[in-house]
Amino acid sequence: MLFYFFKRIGSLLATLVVASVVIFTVIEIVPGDPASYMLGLNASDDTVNALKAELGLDQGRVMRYVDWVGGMLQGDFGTSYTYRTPVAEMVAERLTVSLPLAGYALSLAILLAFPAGLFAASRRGGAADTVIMGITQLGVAIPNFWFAMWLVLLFAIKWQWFSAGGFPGWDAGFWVGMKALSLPAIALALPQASILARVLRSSLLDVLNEDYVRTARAKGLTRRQALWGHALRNAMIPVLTIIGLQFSFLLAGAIIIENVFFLPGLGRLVFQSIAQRDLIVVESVIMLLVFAVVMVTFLVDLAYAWVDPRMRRSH
Amino acid sequence: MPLLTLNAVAVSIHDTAILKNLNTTLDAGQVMGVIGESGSGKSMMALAIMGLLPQGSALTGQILFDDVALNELTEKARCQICGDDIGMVFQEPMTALNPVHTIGQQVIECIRLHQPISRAAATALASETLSRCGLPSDQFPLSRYPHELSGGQRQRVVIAMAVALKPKLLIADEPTTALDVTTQAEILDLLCSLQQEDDMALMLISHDLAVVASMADTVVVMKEGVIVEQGDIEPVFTQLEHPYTRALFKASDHTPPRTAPNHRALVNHSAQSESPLLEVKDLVVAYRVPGRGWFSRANTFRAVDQMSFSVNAGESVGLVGESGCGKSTLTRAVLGLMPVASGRILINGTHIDEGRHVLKQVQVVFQDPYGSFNPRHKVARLIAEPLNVLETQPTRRERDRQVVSILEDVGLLSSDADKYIHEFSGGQRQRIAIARALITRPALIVLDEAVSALDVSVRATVLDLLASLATAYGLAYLFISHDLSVVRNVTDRVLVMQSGQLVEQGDTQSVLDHPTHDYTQRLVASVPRLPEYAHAAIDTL
Repeated sequence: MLFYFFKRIGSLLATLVVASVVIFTVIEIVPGDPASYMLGLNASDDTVNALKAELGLDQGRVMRYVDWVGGMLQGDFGTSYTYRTPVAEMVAERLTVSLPLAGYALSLAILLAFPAGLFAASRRGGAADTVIMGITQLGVAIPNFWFAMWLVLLFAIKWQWFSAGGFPGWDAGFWVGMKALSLPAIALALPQASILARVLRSSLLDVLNEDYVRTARAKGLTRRQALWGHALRNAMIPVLTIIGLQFSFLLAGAIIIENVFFLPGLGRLVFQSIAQRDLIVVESVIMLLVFAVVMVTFLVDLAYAWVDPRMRRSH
Repeated sequence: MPLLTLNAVAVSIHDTAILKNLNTTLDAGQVMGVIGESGSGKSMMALAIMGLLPQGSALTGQILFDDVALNELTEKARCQICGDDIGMVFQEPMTALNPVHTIGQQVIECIRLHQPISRAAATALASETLSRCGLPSDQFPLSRYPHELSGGQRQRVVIAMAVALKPKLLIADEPTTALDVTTQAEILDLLCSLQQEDDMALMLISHDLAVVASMADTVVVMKEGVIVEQGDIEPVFTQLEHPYTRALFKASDHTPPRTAPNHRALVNHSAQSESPLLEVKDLVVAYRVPGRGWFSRANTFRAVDQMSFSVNAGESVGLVGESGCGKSTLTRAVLGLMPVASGRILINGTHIDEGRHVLKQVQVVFQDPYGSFNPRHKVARLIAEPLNVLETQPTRRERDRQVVSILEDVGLLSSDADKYIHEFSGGQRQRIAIARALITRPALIVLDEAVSALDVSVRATVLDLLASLATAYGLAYLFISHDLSVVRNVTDRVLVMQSGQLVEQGDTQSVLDHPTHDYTQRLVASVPRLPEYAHAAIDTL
C-alpha cells in the first residue's frame, strides 16, 4: 500500500513538471507582447523596453521559466500586467468563490445521483427506471445556462427567494454566501448529476450480473442487501473516475454559469486575462488548475485502492 | 419423508420452456448426482431450488423442502432458508467471491445473517469453518482477500460459506470443473467428508460420470430440460437402460479409430530432412516479475525451464500438467509468439526465427470456441486468413476452392462459408477452428485444451475428426490437456510437465499405467474413475 502511495506521488510530480514546461512553452509562442499591449499603440520603443525590463521579459527563456517555477514554489505567482497586483492575491480571492461553488455543485450532484442510480438499477426495466433514465437524458441534454436562466426567472424574479446574481462575499456570513451560490450550484449540478446517475446505474447493472452477487444471494441476502453490501462498492470504480473529472471541470469550467450569475470566479478571471493579454495570470491560473486536476486524480487513485484491494499491489 | 421434493416443476424464460415436468426426491443425508450435457437444465434446476432464476422466468409446480413449498414463500422468508438450511457451491471459484471483501468478512456475513450471535462468536465460527475446509487460520488468516488465493483455495472459501451453518442440503454445481485434477480430488474429498460429518444431503451436479459415480447414492440424468432417467446409481450405471445414458457412457470413454498416417502425406512434410518435425532443445522462457521492495531489481520467473523434447511427423504427443505449470507459455513459444530466453525451437531442422515459411508449418486450435473468432467476419474469411502469411498468395478463386474443400473435410457444408460464427454450435465452431488451422497445410497442429470445453458427445465426434484428418493430411498433434483420459485415448507419447520442467515422458500407455515420477503418480491417482460395475457395463456396449 505504501509502495502504491509513493508511486502515485512520483507520477504526480512528474506530471506537474511536464505540464509546467508545456504551459510555459505554449504561452511563449502565443503572439502578442504584453508590454506593448499594456502601453498602447503609441508607446515609444524605450518605454516598452523599460517595462519589459521591469517585468523581467528581457531575460532568456530558460531563466524566465526557472524564475516562474521558483516563484510559484514560494507562493509568488508574479504580478498581473494589467492590474499591477500580485497574481496570487487575485487567484486566492477568486478561489474563495470557485472552490466552494465546485464543492457545493458536486455535493448536490452526488446527493441526487446516488439515490437515482441505485433506485433505477434495483428496479431495472421498471417504471421508476424508465422515468429516471428519461429525466437524466434531459439533464444531460439541456444546456446549463438555459436552465440557469429559468432558475433565475422562477426563483429570483417570480418568487424572489434568491437574488438573481452577484456574490456578497463570505464576510456577510456563511449562510448568506451559500444562499448566493445555491442557484449557480443547482444549475451546475443538474447535468453532472445526470451523468453520474447514468454511470452508476450501468456500472451497478454490470456488477449485479457478476458471479459473486449470485453467491451473496445464495447466502441468503435479499436482492436489496446484495445490491448495497456487494454490488455498490464494486460499482464505485467508474463512478469515482467521473467524480474526479467533474470536480476538475467544475473548478474552471463554470465560466458560463459565472457569467449568468455575475460571480467573481476563476473562469471569468481566465477569460478576462486572455482578452487583455495578461499572460502571467493565464499561465498561473492554468498551472493552478493543472495542479488541482493532478491532485484530484491522486485522490481518486487513493480512493480506488481503498475501494478495491487488488489495486493496492498494482505495479 | 424426503428432504427435498420436486413436484412437476417447470420453468420457462420469456415463454421458452427450460425445464419440463421435473419430479424427483432427495432424502436427508443422501448424495444425489445430476448428470447431463450443457443446456440440459442441470444448473437451472439448482437455481430454481435456490430461488435465483434469472429475471423474466416463470416457475410452475412445487419445490418442497422440509415440507415447505419454497417457491410459494416471500423473498424474505426464502432468504432465511437459503444460506442457512440450503448452501450452494458454484462452478467458477475465480469469480464467485467478492473481490473487495476479505474471506473472513464473507464467511462471517453469512453466519450473522442467519444467527443472532456476536461478531466475536461469528468470527470464531468462521475461522473454525475455514480450517475445517482446509484453510487453517495460521496460514490463511481471515484478513486475506480472494485475489491472494488460488482457485482451489477460493473454492474452499465458497464451500466454507455454504457449510458454516451446517445446512441440511448442499447444492454443488460443477464444483470442480474449473480446477486441476489434483485439486479436484482434494475438493471432492472435502465435500465427501463434510457431507458425512454433518450428515447433510448433497446434490452434486456434474458432467463427469466418474465424479458422480464415486460420490452419489442416487443419480438423475437430464437432457434438454427433462429428467430422462433416475434411480439408485448402481442399477442406472450398470443397466444403462435409457439410450441417452448409454450414449453418455459411450462418448465419455471414446477412443477414436486411429490408423497410421497416409505415407504419401507424411513424406511431403519430412522430405527435406532427417530431423524430427518439432525439436525443442534446452528451452527457457522467462517473465520479468517486479521486485517487491523499493529498489530491488526485477526478478525473472522461468515459466519454461530447460525443456527438451521432440515430436516426429505424424505423431500425436500429449502434454499434461496442472494450471500454472507452463503449458501455455510453452505453446506460445512453439508458435513463435513469445521471445525465448535461451534454447532452440527447430521445425524440420530450421529455427523458427527464420521466418514465416517455418512458422506456417505449425498451427493452433485454442480452447474457447466462442472467444477465438472475430464475430463480424464470415467463416470464409476466418478460415482463409492464415493464407495471408504465405509468400505466394493464392488467387481468389483458388482461395475459395480451398475453403470449400477444407470445410467439407472437417464435416461442414460448403454453404457454411457465407455464415457468421454466431450461427454455429460450440462443436461446429471448433471444427471451423480446425479448418482454419489446416488451410496452410501445416505439419503440426497444437491443440491447446481444444476439446476441454465441449460436451462428451461432441468431444467424441471432434476427436474422431482429428484422428481421420491426421491420417489424411499426415498431421502431427501436440495435444495439451488436463484430461488424462482423453490424452490416453488419442496420443502415442505423453510429456508430463511440472513447474516449467519436464518430469517424465514416454509411451502414453506405459507412463499412465506405470508412472515413475512422484508427480505423475499423484496426477494419475487423482483422476476420478468409473467403478468396476460401470466398466463392465461399458464393455458390453
